[in-house]
Amino acid sequence: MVKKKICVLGAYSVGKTSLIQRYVKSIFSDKYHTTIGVKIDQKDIRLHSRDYRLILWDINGEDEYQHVKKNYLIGASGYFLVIDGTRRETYDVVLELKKLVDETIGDKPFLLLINKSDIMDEWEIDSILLMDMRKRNWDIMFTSAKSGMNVEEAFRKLAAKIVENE
Amino acid sequence: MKDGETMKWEHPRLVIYTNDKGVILEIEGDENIGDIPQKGGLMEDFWPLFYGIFPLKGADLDIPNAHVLDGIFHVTLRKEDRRYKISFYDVREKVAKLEQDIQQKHQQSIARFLQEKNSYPDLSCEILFRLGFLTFIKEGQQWRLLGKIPFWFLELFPHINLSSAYFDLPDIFPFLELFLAEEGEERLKVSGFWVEESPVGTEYILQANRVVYGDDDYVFIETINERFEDNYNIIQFAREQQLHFEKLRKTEKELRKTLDFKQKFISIVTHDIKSPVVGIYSMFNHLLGEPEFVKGISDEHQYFLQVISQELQNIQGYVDTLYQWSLVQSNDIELKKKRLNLKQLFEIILMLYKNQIEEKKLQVSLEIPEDIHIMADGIFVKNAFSNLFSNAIKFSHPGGKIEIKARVTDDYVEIVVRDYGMGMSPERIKEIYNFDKKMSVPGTQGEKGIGIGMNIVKMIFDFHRARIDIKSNLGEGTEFKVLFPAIN
Repeated sequence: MVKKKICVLGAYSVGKTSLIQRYVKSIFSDKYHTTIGVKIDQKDIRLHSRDYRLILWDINGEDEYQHVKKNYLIGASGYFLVIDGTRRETYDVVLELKKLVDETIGDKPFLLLINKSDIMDEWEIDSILLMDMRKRNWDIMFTSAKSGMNVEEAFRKLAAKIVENE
Repeated sequence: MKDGETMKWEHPRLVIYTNDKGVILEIEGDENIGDIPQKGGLMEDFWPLFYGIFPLKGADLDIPNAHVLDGIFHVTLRKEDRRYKISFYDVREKVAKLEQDIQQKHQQSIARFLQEKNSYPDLSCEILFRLGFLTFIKEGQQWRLLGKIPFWFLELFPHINLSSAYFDLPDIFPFLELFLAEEGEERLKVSGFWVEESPVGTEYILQANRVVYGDDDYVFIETINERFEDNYNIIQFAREQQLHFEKLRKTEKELRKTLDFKQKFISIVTHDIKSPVVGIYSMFNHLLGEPEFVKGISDEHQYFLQVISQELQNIQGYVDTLYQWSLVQSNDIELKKKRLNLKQLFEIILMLYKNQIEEKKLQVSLEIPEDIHIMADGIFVKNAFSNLFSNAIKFSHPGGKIEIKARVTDDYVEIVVRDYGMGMSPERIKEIYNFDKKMSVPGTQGEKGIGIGMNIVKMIFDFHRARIDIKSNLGEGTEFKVLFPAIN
């Protein structure tokens, strides 16, 4: 089985752990539980008649208390940048993290996930910000770990991008 | 303490005398000792070790095993009269012996450990096991378990049998793939934290230590939940607080937006209504003053027209008040301050309330000297004082007395509006500026108000950096004292 390491990055409480839990275990909890260090889950998928094991690195949220360690990114075939649609400032964190990834592992396939799409009435992501994201030619997906919207699709899409990139 | 008591070495190899600033005065001793400084130089320039020592504070100073003069010396600093004596005792041999002893003991300990490990592999890991470590040794490209399996591993991976064979550690702990692949010369490496979750949902925070000793390569994995608990709780709490704070900030932003809209809406509407109301009122009064218009109207209907006129005046008052309130609330006031003659200002106010004064048969005394001025916005201040005066009228009994006085003190212009009417209870005085409480109280003849007057009055005075004080007793009347900054 071919292993592919995928890192999930973003500010704290954007839903990184929830997205992985939804994808791997089909569960969701509303309670915020901060991730310390790294949590690794695995999921086997079949793509283009081939089996892959996705090693999902759920890396602690970036903030003043914890920082993403560069060497956690080494060996990643692709990554997710996750923002919380209800918190505008999480986009700024993602911009910083993108720089860090580029410096550390270079150009790798990635997806920008705008999570918490189930509560769009509380969103702070306006059309101007979306335009800024699109200008960067980033692949964007709207997800909800709570409802499961686009979660499976996002992981499969990134895996496909990784395979295509080989 | 004397040199002889502290030192086993009888003679120093070098003695330097300095002043209290560390300037070298005299040098005695072995000239072959190595490079030594010159007289007049600073000790700290030659040996940075002495930086900050001079002048010596408190007791004498000993610096054991100092690496100076290409050797190892025990250095003593002693104060003698007005100078310092700095002695250098050669301790190279003593230190070499000490190093040798330590090295020997260290090697003995390691040898004992290796001997025990080889003889009793399980026993040697017993302590590590008791401390909660899971220990592996590298053999070939794989890892073999040493000693027993701690409880946390059994809970995390109940189906993995570690004691049967060799393992590829990253198969069990994918986090270790990177850590074990890291290259470096260090004999001890400590990994970052990672989290493993048991089938029943218990989370363990783990950390690995890799020790390379000779040809042996060990990995010790431990759970640091207990050690990390406080830190974890702090981070969890801090982030929860941050999320609450962000929510509050967002709510506040929304509220402000709503409030701004409301205030702007009121401001626009009242501004737009103001002109037509004033127009209607003026034209209506003009009609009432036309003999041709009132000629054929019965007394009863003329009375109705008077009531309509009165109500129109009230509406105009409400609209004015609302408009000013909206401006004050949104801090949208641009004060156009100018020098105002106080007496003239009150004469205008009295004129405006002439009808009400006459209706209630009130005696109003105006005791304001001609030359008192304040720096204020005429429109706002007129409205604020009008409000105070209209309250005085409202709460005065028919035939009552109202006094308006002013005087200049060193720092202030003091203006007093006093009535002898209903007065207020202490509770009412406390709430008089509180917009949240509905405080409108009818006057002595049932006069109405909209109950936001004093709130605005206070704000207008605040904008002018003026202070307002209230004195009142139920049944005895009320005194409003306003202190305006004096004009220099």
